[in-house]
Amino acid sequence: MSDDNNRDDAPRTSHEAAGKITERLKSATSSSGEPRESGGTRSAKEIPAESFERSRMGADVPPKMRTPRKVGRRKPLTPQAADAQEAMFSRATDSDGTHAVPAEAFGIEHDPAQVDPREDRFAEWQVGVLFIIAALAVVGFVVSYVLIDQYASLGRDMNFALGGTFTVALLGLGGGMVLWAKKLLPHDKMVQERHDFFSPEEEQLDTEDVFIKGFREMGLGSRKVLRRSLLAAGALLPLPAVLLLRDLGPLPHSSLRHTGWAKGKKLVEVESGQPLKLGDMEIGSIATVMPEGLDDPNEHALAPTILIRFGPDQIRSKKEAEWGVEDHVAYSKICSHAGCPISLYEQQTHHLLCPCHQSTFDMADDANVIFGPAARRLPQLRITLDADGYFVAEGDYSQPVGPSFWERG
Amino acid sequence: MTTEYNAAPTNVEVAAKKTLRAVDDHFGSAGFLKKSLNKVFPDHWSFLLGEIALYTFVILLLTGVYLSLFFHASTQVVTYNGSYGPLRGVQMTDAYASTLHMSFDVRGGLLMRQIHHWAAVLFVMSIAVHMMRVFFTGAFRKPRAINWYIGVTLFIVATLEGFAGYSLPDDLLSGTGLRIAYSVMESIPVVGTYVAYFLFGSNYPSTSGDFIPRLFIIHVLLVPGILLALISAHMMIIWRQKHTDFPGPGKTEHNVVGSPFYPTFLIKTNGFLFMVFGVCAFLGAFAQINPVWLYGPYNASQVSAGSQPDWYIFFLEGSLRLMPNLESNFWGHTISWNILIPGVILPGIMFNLLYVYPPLEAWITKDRAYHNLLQRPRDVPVRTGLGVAGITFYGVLYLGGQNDVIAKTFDWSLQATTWVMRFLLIFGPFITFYIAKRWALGLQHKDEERLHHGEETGIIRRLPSGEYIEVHEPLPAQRQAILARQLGQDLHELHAGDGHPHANGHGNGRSPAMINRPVGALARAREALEGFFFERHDEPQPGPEDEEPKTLTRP
Repeated sequence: MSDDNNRDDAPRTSHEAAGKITERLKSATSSSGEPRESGGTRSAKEIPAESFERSRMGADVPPKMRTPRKVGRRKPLTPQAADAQEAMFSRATDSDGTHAVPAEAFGIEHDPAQVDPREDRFAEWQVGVLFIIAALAVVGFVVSYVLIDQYASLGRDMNFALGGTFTVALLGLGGGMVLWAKKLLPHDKMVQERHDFFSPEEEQLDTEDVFIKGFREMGLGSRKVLRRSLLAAGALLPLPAVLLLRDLGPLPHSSLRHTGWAKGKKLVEVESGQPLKLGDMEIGSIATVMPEGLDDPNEHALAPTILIRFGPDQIRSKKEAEWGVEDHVAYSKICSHAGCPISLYEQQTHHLLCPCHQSTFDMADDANVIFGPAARRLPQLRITLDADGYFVAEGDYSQPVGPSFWERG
Repeated sequence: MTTEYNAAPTNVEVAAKKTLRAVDDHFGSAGFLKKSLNKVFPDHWSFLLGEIALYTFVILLLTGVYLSLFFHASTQVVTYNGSYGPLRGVQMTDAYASTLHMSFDVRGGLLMRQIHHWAAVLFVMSIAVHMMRVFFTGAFRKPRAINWYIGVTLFIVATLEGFAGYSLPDDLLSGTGLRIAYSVMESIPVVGTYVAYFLFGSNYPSTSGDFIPRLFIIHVLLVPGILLALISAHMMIIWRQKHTDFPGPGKTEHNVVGSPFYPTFLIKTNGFLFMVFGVCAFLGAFAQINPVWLYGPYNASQVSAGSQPDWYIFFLEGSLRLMPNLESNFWGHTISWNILIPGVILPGIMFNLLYVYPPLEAWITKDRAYHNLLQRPRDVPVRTGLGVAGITFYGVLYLGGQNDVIAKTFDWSLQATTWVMRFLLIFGPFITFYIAKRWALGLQHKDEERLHHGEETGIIRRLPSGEYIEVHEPLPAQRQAILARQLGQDLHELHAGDGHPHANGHGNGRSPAMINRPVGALARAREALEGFFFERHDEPQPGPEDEEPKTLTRP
């Protein structure tokens, strides 16, 4: 394959031909350990030689199509490889009838390292260098751990250094091992008989007999009282386990219908912690508010509410305007689909979009669903102004807030 | 018959012999050990996919134990006072604060966290790809159906484990995911609110909740225990049944050809373990994942645009996004179809189809034979088509989970993107089924041509009549035999057979047994399905000008 003759002593590898290890890269020796037939293309050796005889070819057949080298003839293995191969071929046969088969039987060639002592030494060094790199990387890891300032650039330096050295150590070790198997172990294959998946019939019958005999002794088939009382006890036994789970959580009762809003509660802006009053909001702006005194949203998952200020006559729904005050309306921030807090407001279109599943509500039309998987409008909170001009709730939401549930109705 | 490997034993070998002898004195393990060391493992790149899953699991255990030393599974509210400036003074749960602590104040903590997260991503991914390999090569057929069920269960459990894991830090992103999971539970008819309240300990979110400690123990003890048990069972069954292999030289249904477990496979597979670990370490070092400090602590009134879960949750997110807004109210009750169908029913159907497929195919094809040799995707076009259709369905859901990101990236209308995906979800699988099946049949056709007419040599010859033809070479006999087996054809047309008939009630050779007309409706349905399953590309009929073949074999 490396030069154009068909002599019996044709070089097996380009190393032999060119005398340089680097030249080997250009040779087409099977490197994957796989039969060549598994690929989509065929190697030249499968095509009988006569097809390629010059006399049978047209004038324009390129000269590089040539008789393949003879198969099955090879140099003796290096002593180490021969030892390893001998060890393999002398493996004890197990009850599955394992035996070793030379690699040539599968069209696989030994790695050049296994036939040429120079290549063998080179391969050993290749593996060794990888292992040495791995060892050095571990040293680098230790040095980085001790020397690098862990707070420098938010810990990134430390992360790069530790991770980088760790990566090199692992890849060096792993790569070395793979190379070790590929270069220095024989490519001969083992063939192992598969046993039947089922047992011999006598054994099956015997086992069945043992089982049936025991079953009869137990009397589960014939003793009705025994069987039924056992069933009753067995069926009831899990009950304590189920009961013990009862205190995992409170029963929902009506907690899903209450949100912490009540008549007279001021609308407190989450960001600033200040109650909002008329004039605080600009036209087209929105604010996330919580009921006065309950300012941790995590304590009251259903309470977050948005206050929107519209321009004059922008609200198209009569009910919406009535429930709001002075072009300000308050709606639940909790999506009626899956409970995400809805936060993307388009000022010009008055559309409110949930970033989780893109349910879109027309806030000028009483939070009507115009797109997405949400099935219900957002509930509106009835608000008014107190004597000092602060926004206050007129009561709790008139319907359950957030995603639907069975008892919701 | 045992041959001694004759060389003077070195000191190490003597010590090894003594150790083996001592172990055997206690356990009588020599016979088992010999069989195990001799165990033959076939070589094929696709057999490494399952190994990636196994090794990422090992990495997850190692890094996970380390992380658990620093994580506080607590919802107690604390004021952050660590070294990450932007969040100093912010109120947050101890869970989130300890995650920040291990990321910024524990040397190597961030690395371990990122390796853990990347390994989790790769774990679920390698299970999925491994499952596709097993599906498309028919490795799930008898006697390996049980292992397929275990594998599907592993996929589901791994998904849940991943979700539980990235939900632990109690950051804004994970809290959003939990809130959606809570809503999905709430949507279950009759018992939904109870299930959700019992699992979460209250409404979610709630600072008084027991939820983080519960999720923690689920994530570090309960589910890993299940995974470990299932993986052990999976491995033991593989060990017992031996690995499948593709047809090839010297390979039959009754043998396995490859490298011995010891030493070749052992060295190779350990090398692979370190390489997988190395890739995870590389990602953990240089590819940021789940930077929880950027999201901030969970707050029930906040969410960021473009919130995305880990990849294996995308399909659920997508099904929630693509579902139209259906909801029923009757007799004082509500059924939230817009969550129940995409969040509960659809995943249930999808996973159950995976469980049902092996017995269904065996029932349709009446295939009760044992199989050790794998098929190529082209060998069973309908199965391949069904698999590709399933991947398409999953893939559209996966893309649906990022419809906002896609719409933004390509500057498309979000609504149009969603509608296109809704249509693709329904029609896409049919289209890809057809394409994949035709493709497989086309490849079969090509293989048949190679089998019957031989391989093109690239040599053009001129006949005395002046006509140019290409020389075809018949395939080598061994290759012919393999190809014929893969195509489910009898070789004796080509030459006089190889002695024993192939166990071939499977593959694409339709079983000739259907002489009696089926009576029952079920039997007739089965027969119709069998017809569908085995419909195949007819061999090309020779046209009049083809009667004298234009191809020449060696003159």
